[in-house]
Amino acid sequence: MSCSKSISYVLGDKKSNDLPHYFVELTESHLAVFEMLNSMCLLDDYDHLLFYLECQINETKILTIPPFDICLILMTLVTISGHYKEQFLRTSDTYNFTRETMNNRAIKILRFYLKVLRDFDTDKYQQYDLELLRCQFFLAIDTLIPKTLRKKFFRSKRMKVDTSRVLYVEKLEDDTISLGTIENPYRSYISCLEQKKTVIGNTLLTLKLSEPGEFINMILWTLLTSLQDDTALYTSCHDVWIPLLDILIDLFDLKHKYFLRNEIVRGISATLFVQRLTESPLALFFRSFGTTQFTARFCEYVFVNCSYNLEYDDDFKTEIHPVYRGENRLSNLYIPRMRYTKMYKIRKSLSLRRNIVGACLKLLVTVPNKHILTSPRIASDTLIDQICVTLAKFSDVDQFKSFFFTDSLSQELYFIPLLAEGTLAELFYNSGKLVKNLDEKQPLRFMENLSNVDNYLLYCADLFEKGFFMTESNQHITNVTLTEMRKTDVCLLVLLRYLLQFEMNHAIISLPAYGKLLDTIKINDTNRQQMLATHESKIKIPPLYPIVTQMSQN
Amino acid sequence: IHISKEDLLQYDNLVELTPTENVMKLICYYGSDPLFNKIFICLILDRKIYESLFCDSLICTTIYCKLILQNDPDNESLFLQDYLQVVDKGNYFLHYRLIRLLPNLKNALIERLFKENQDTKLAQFVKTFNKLFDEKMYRDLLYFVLFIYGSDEMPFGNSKTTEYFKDCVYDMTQDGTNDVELSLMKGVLNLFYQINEV
Repeated sequence: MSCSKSISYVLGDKKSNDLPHYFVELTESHLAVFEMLNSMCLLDDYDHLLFYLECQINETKILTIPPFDICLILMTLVTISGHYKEQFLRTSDTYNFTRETMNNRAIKILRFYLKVLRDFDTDKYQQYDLELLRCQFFLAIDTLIPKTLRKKFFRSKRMKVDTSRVLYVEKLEDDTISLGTIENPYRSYISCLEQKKTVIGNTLLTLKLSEPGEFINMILWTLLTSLQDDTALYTSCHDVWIPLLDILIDLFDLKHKYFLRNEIVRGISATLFVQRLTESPLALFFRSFGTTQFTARFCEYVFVNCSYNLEYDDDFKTEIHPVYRGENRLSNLYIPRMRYTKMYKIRKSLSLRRNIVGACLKLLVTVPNKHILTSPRIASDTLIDQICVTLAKFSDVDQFKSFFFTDSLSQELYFIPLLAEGTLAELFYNSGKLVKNLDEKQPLRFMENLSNVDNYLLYCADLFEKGFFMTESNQHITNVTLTEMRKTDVCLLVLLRYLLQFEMNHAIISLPAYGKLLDTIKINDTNRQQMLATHESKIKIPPLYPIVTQMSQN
Repeated sequence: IHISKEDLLQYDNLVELTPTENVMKLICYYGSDPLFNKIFICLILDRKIYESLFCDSLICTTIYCKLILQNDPDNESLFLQDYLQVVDKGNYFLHYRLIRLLPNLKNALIERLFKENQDTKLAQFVKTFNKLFDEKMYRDLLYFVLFIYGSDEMPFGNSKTTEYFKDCVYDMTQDGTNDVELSLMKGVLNLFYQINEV
């Protein structure tokens, strides 16, 4: 049984009155728990609310299920971080006998439930309980994205002297609380959200994010602050938004899988399928990026604040503001203790961006051939091309490396090698290597050769011998040339790593083609050292040979 | 692990810390060290590590299962033996912290601390409760209560023992004492009382 397969207790196709497919009815015992959590919440007793959920977290007999409004309350609690709300946190939880801050506790609880949903272990817990839990979380994230897009234009025209693409502004208006209510599908349960709109001073997450432009602003704010040096800004994203966004993306992913499996009728035509796909959770998620010129916007947003140089053909810049007021300033009582190195920040930030790219490509993978997703309007080829073009223009090798080097290679197999190949082609094109006809870019043939290991390795060796990984002998060596070379190295390593992962048997090492590849790499390394020596360049490039041999030994 | 006074003097309370995410990854490389059990215990009970986002029950249990337990149930008693060499038997504050991070050890630890002789575990619980209560050691009492609930012998919900505990605490608070731990205990016991184990 998996999260998307299990549909024994859902409403399913009998849906009526706008009740969703995954809707599960309540029983008395669960209603009692719902109401207890509800009353704690209405009394602002968040400490006891969290404690109640925590002390039953690892009990294997019972699974305490929080209602969807409590899930939203938990998500809002995550945003009450000590770095700007230290006083309020202290007054809400004076004794703090668990010795943890409330926002951390909320994140850990949410992570626990997410794991339960991902595992969906029907041996450990009752299937009904699991389906009810899934229903609550799906209801909660359904409220985060409005079904109808209200347009808000927050890109302003750049002045001629302005070179930055991103404008970081303070939101000047007050946090206006939207008067909209969140629909409660249960007749027997009165949701606390009818009365409660804020949690310790922060507007409920749903009300905040469903304002026009706020959802994408939240994503942009997270990405922007994830590479900042300023402590307040970085803490805001590290303690609050990166964990929260990770949880939200995972939930959207689960919901999307469920949608694909259960809510699209089988055997319909491809056109109808694409139409249904535009209503899928991930499509709605990415619709917040804007429906016009999606590809350009997507690349711009996903790589916001990374170091790259791309010529733009439009003169707009994006305004990004803090999600909650005051997040960008440290409270007087907060002492930052952690030292976050640059490499740490880069790794975390690029890892998040990779997740977002992966989620988008996951959506596109299901679009049938020769069809284009209409809303948001994306064609996978153009999107991948544009991403590769942007990556190829990165000027910081560390950021480039962090994007490609992932811990969980098997989960990201479906898009990382494609991007690596495309970026490699783009890099060769930029350095003039693939020039036969200036307008045409010749694609590389790694993916085609995947079924035949020998061909793959020989193709690699061939590229080395043709001098793709070396500069021209008469070319002047600059920092830029060396950066480009290092980037091509990274792409090659990714492709080789993918091959090793794909061909699990370690017979690769004994193949003669592999030996040939290693020899060519060695020669290439020596040539490079010679070239650097002759140009008296102080910059070094790490040799490829030891890295490749080490990779194949694991 | 012996820590001398000189070592403690070198520790700066306001020193900058490495992000816990990295610390948890680094610690795994020491899995084969003979002192690993004690190192791990001291690490996760440290306040700064404990309260961070990257030290939760999922991560700690994974590390425990893969590096300490390693499918050998004897390792569990070895681990608890090491634990009791580091932490005092009566330190319920730290016992509670440990079982929040490694909840699968709750019953085993209780087994060790309350070995059954003539009294059942439940009787021993009540004895300990009474002792701490009479000696007005309310902070220890609070963490003792937090520690034992949820175990096999002391389930949540309505029970005679819970009622007894509640009555004791209520009586005390009606006398007008200002001990904050007592009011906390009142809230906690009420909560435990209402949890229904279906």
